[in-house]
Amino acid sequence: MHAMTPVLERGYTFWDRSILPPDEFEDRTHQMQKALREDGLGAIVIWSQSYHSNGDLTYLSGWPMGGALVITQEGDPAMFCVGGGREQYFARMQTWLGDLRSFLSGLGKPIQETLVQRGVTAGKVGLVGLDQMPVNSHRNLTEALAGYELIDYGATYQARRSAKRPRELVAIGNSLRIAEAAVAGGEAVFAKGASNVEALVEAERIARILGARDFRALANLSARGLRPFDGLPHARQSSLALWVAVDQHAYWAEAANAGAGEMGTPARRAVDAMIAAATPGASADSIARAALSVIPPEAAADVLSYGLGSGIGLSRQETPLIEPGNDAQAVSEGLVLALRAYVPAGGKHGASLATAMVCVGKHRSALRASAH
Amino acid sequence: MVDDLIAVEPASFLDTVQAQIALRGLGKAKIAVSGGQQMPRAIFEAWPDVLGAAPANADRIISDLSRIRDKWSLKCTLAAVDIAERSYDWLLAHARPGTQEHVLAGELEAHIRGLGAEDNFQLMSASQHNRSVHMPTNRILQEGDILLGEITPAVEGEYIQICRSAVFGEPTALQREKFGMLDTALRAGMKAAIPGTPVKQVVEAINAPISACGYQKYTVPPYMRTRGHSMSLGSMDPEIAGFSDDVLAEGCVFVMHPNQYIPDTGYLMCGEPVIITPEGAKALTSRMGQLDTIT
Repeated sequence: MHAMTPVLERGYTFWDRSILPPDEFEDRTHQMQKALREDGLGAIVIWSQSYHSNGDLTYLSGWPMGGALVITQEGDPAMFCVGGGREQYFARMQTWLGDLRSFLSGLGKPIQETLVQRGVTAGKVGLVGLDQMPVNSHRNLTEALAGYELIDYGATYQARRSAKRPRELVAIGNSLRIAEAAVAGGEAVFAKGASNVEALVEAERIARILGARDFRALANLSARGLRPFDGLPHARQSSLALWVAVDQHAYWAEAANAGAGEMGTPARRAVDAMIAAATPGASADSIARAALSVIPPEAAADVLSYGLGSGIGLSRQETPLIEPGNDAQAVSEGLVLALRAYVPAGGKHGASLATAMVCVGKHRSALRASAH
Repeated sequence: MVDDLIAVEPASFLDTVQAQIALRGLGKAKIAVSGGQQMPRAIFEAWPDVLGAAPANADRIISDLSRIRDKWSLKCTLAAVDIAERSYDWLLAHARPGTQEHVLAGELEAHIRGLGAEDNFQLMSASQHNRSVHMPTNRILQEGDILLGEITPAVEGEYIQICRSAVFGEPTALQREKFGMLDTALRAGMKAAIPGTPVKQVVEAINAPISACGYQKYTVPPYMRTRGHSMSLGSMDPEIAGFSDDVLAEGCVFVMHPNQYIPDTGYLMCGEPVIITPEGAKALTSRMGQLDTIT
């Protein structure tokens, strides 16, 4: 979608060990350490923004917010939390890691010291997420690590965690359950006479009380197009199209209200075509073209302006990005895709909105909400 | 407010900016960039190629202009203050032991949306002994808990913040005493905050009553974070912290908050959105925070 509510991520934050127990993170770490050895790296340093984590740090730490992580070939990772330490008490509740430190500024020296303490005194060090770092912080870190051969490891790291593990699928399914309940709740109040914006607010209320950490939504608040919440009031429209994305445990899922994308609508046809096309090895371009082949040609520009979807997981938008011309990215076994289409009203058809969450594989199927 | 708005995927951002600059015939103009220290390094370092030359730094231009509220932005600020206060009143009326933190926080979020705030940054948590305020968890609220709330609604992009503490049940004499100490610190900071005052002096004024009670050790991290900050549209200045070189200007709006951990009672919150006037910092709220009781 091309417009998002400009929120900082906040909300329900709790590490549920029954869903993601410590051994899950231990095994992920062991797998990544094996990759380090294969790739000849002495360590990797992962950095993530505080309020807009893309999941790189969360994948190994469980901590859904920002900071830095140092992983060496042996031992548990060391985590560095932003701030003067006030947040450490809370962070310790949310991560399996015992080596948790805080920093106010200048991440370079403590990370360099950590590497030396762990016996990494020279050689290759992989960097993940540093393109997102503010320039001064980046300079501070790379100057401190000048004695190492620094390798951009972001794409490799993300590729290694792109296929979703069984427990990740359950976590995504939990988020999907929340998203589906939220749009159903919005649709229910709309059916009773609420306005579209009131339906959006109700969806947020339900999502948050069910345990969404973050919530994003678009709805047809006016006669044409989908918009984020921008205050009250808005006039009630004749129908409701409501798209919601939520995360829990930092795992994202999205859903749209069923009434907006019933069987036979252009949006539903487009999403069904993408589901059929999303086989292992299929390019993002081919999946996008499958959608465009079944919608009215005059609607294509509008449909593409909202986007057709992407990979989803610890980030709301992971690779591949489903768009025409994207031959460089393909779907692979184990990926989860969030597919969507919004087709504005035109000619003989009314506006329609449909979504699907799909796990790509030999037995490709729509991802289901986890049982509660 | 901006009619010419172009939405792009992140990967197309720089190419789009470059094309739009050329389209407007600004290819040879001197161009400045604001927000450089906050933007991702990859974008910051690409500007010389995109613009044809290293851009000038416009951080101060934007920040200095925006930190003083004009009539419209002050109106939005006051509307956000009103939403924050009404939301807190709603919270006092609806918070009950037995509710999970995140359920109460979620209901409050929806209530704030219903009052018209387009966004809200909110921390809310409770404990018998808080170490800090944090994101809500599934913890079940208990009788005797101190509920901490940092409510930050936005109206037309103007964020304001109130920081509040409330006890489920009757606060103890010790809790009242320590909250009173923070309230004294806040009022001392407000009195000191006249135009032309270095922020460091305001920090000292806030810390003095706390240190006088024997808590000097606790006036620095990790027991607190900062004594206040702006969150205005386009400016994060001033940061009310000992390391800040900011000097207060008339019309500045920010939250002043001597929120901190106290070993006897745990973390307490006490903060007001204020505007700088010749008489000192004036609270924009209709009622300054007190240690409230939830019954």
